Amino acid sequence: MTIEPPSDFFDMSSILTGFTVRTLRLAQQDADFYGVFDDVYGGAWLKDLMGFYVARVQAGSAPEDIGKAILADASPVAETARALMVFWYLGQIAPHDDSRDLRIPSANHYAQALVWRAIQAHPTGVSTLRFGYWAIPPAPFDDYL
Amino acid sequence: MAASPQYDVVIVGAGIAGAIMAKELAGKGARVLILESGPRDREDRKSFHDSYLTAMAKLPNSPYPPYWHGNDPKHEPNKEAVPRPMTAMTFAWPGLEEFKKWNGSQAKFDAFNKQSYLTYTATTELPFLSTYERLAGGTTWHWLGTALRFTESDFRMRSKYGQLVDWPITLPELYDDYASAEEMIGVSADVGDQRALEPYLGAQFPEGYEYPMKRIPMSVSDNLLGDTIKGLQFDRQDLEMTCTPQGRNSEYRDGRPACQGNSSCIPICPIQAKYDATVTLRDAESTNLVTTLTKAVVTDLEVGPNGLITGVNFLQYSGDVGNYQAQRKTASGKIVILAAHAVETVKILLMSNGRRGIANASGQLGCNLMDHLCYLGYGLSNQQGFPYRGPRSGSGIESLRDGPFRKRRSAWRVDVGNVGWQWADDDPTRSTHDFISGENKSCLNPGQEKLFGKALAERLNMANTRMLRLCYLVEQEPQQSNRITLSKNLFDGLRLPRPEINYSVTGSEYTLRGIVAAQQATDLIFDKIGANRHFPDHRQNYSHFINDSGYPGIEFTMDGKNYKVNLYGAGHIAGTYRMGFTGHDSVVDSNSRCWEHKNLYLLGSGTFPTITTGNPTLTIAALTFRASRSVLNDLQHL
Repeated sequence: MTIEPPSDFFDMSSILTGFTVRTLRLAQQDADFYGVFDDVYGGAWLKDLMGFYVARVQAGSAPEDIGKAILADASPVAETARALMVFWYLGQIAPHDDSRDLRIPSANHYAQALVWRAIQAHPTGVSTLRFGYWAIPPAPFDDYL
Repeated sequence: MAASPQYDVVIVGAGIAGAIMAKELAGKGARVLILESGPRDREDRKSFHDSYLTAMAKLPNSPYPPYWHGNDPKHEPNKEAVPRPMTAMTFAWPGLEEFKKWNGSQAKFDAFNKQSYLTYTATTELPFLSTYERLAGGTTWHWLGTALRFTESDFRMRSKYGQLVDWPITLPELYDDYASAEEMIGVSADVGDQRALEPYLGAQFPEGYEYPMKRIPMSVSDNLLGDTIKGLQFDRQDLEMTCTPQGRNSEYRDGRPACQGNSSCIPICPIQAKYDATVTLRDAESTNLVTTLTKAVVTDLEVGPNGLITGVNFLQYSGDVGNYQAQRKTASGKIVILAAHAVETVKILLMSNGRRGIANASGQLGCNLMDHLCYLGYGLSNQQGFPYRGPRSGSGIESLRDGPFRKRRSAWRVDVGNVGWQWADDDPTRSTHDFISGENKSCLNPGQEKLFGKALAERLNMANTRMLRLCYLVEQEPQQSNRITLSKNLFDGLRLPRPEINYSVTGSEYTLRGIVAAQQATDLIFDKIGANRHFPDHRQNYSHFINDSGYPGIEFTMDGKNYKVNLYGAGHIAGTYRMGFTGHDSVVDSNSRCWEHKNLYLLGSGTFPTITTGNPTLTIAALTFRASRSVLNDLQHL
C-alpha cells in the first residue's frame, strides 16, 4: 500500500527541483516517488534528509538557504538529496550502496519525470497531444513548473 | 527427404517484404506458408511499450525480445534461440585508441565476439553498427518511417558518374511499384515538396501523382533550421530543408489513428500511427490463404537435381532460454522466397548444401555489406526550436542527395532530428545528470556547476530547447571485402552458426570523402548560426570525436589532413545478395529471382547493388511488388 508522503517531503522537493508542490503532488499521484525512493535507496537516508530539512525550517531559514545547506559539499545529506533530484527529474534511482544499479522502477516514474516539463516537452513515447501540435511552440515555461 | 508440396509458395520472414509478398500472392489465390523465426503475440504492443519506457537505454532493440541482460552468461547469444544484433552489444567495442592497442589480437576479438551475435574477423576495423529484429512484423517495428524514393541517378551511378555500379532497373520502371508501396504503407507527404527538389534530384514522380495522405507538418525546430540555412551552398548546391514523406498517418486511415507525436518512432510507435508490417501481415492472413508459423527457424534449403529448391528445412522451437525443445520439419512449395533480411537470408543460403552454400556462382553472396554510415553533427541554436516534440524526424536536407560531386565523393542526405541530442548524447538525461552532479559529460557544463531549484530547470531548458542534431546518411561504397560468412566456432541457442563479418570503411576513399563533406557541411551550418549567445564560452558546434568504449571510430588522412570520426548505424543493411545484369556478377536478377535457382526469390535490401541516398524500406516494398508479378507469372509455369 502506498503511504501518503508528509507535506514536508513535497516542500523540500520543491526547493530542490524548482517545481511547485502542486506539480509534485500530481506526479506522486501517478507514480510513488516517496515510497519507492525510500525502498530502493535504502537505509534511513531519506529520513535523515527529511530531518535535516525540517530542522532548518524550524530554525527559520529561507528556502534558498535550506537548499544550499542540504547540497553543500560538507552536508551529510547532499548525496541523498541529489539522488532524490535525479529520481524526480528522470525517474531513475539506484540503491545507495550500488550507484551503478540505476533503474527506472516503473513506466509511470518515467512518464512523470520532471525533466520533460523543464524542457517544455512530453516524455518521449508518452504524448497526450494531438496531431500537428509540434508545428507551434509549447506553452510558456512557467506553466510547466 | 522433403514432404509433398502443400503450398504454392513458402516465404521465410514475416517482415515488410514477406508480408507484402504474401498479401499479393494470396490476393491472386495462391496458398502461402510464412515461416517466421521469432515470436508473435497479438497483445505485444503494450508490453513492448512498457519495456521501452522502463529501459535505461532507449535503443532501437530495447522494446523487443530477446532482451539485453548485460553480461549475464545465461543470455549470451549462444543461449538464445533467435538472437540478433543489438546496439548494446557494440558497447563493448573499445574507443579508437584502445582499439589500436588490440592490433588485430585474436584473443581480443574472441572476447568481443562471445557477447556479440555478429562476430568479427580479426581484420575488421569497425563493428557493423546496424541492427534488425526477428519477430513477426520484422524491423518495421523500429523503423523511423522515412519513405523517400530513390533518385534516378541512384540507379545509374556507373553510367552517370563512373562510380559504384548500375542497378538493372531504372527509376521510371519502378514508378508504379513505388506508388503501390506508398499506398500500402500509407505515406503522408506533399508531392509538390518533392517536385521542388527536381533541380537537384531529377524527376521522381510521373505526371499527376499524389501521395495517399496530406503531409505531416514540419516542427518548430525544422522550420527554424530551414530559415537558418537559406542561402547556404555546399558543393555549389543549395542547402534546402524539405518535409519528409513519412510512413505514418496524418489522418485516420486503415483503422489506425493520426500521429500524435510521441517522438519514439524508433523504437516504437505506441499507437501504431506509424506503419509496421503487422498491418500487412494481418491483411494477408485475412484472405485465409496465408498460414504463419512463428518460432520456426529455417536451417537450410534442399536443392533438386535441376537446381530447383525442393524443401525448406526448419526448426520449430518452444521453451525458454537455456531450455529449448526444437523439432526438425520441412516445408515445400513450388516457389520459395527468402525475406529474412540482409544477414539472415545470407545465413540460410550459406547453411544449405551441407554448409557449402548455394546461389553463389557469382561469388557475391554475403559480399558488399553496406549501411548508411551516420555522421552526427550536433549543437545549439540561438533560438528555441523546442525539440522532443513531434515525429522523431519530419524533415531533411535532401538537395545534396545528388550532384556532379558524386564523381569524386559519396552523397548523403541529412535527417534532421526532432529529439534534441538524444541520439548523439543521450539527452535530456545526460545534461540532467551533469547539472545535478556537477559533471560535464554533455560538454554543456564546463564550469561543473551543481544546480538546484528553478536554476536547474532553467538551465536544462536553455540547453535542451535549443538542441539541433543532424544525421548525415553517408552513402557507403559496396566493397567485396565487407562480407558475411558463417562462424566456424560460435553458434546460437539452436546450434546454428552465427554470422561472421569482415568489415572496414577506410579502404574506400569515395566513402571517406563523403564523411569529410558531412563534417564540413556541419561546420558551415553552425557558422551560419553564429556565436553562442546562451553559453558564451562554448562553440555552437558540439560535434566532437569521442574516444570511449561504445563509440566506434575510424581514423584516416585525406588531402593531408588527419580525421578521427565516430560513426553510427542507420539500420539500413544492404547489398549482400545484390541484383545485377548477369549471373556472373550478381545473385539475383531485376525481379529478385535467383539466377541459379529459378524457383527461389530473395527479397529485401540485400538485393540493393548500392545503398543510394534514400532510406531503404520504401524501395524494399516497391521491389517486392515488382517481384510478386514475376512470382505469379512463374507459378503459372512451374
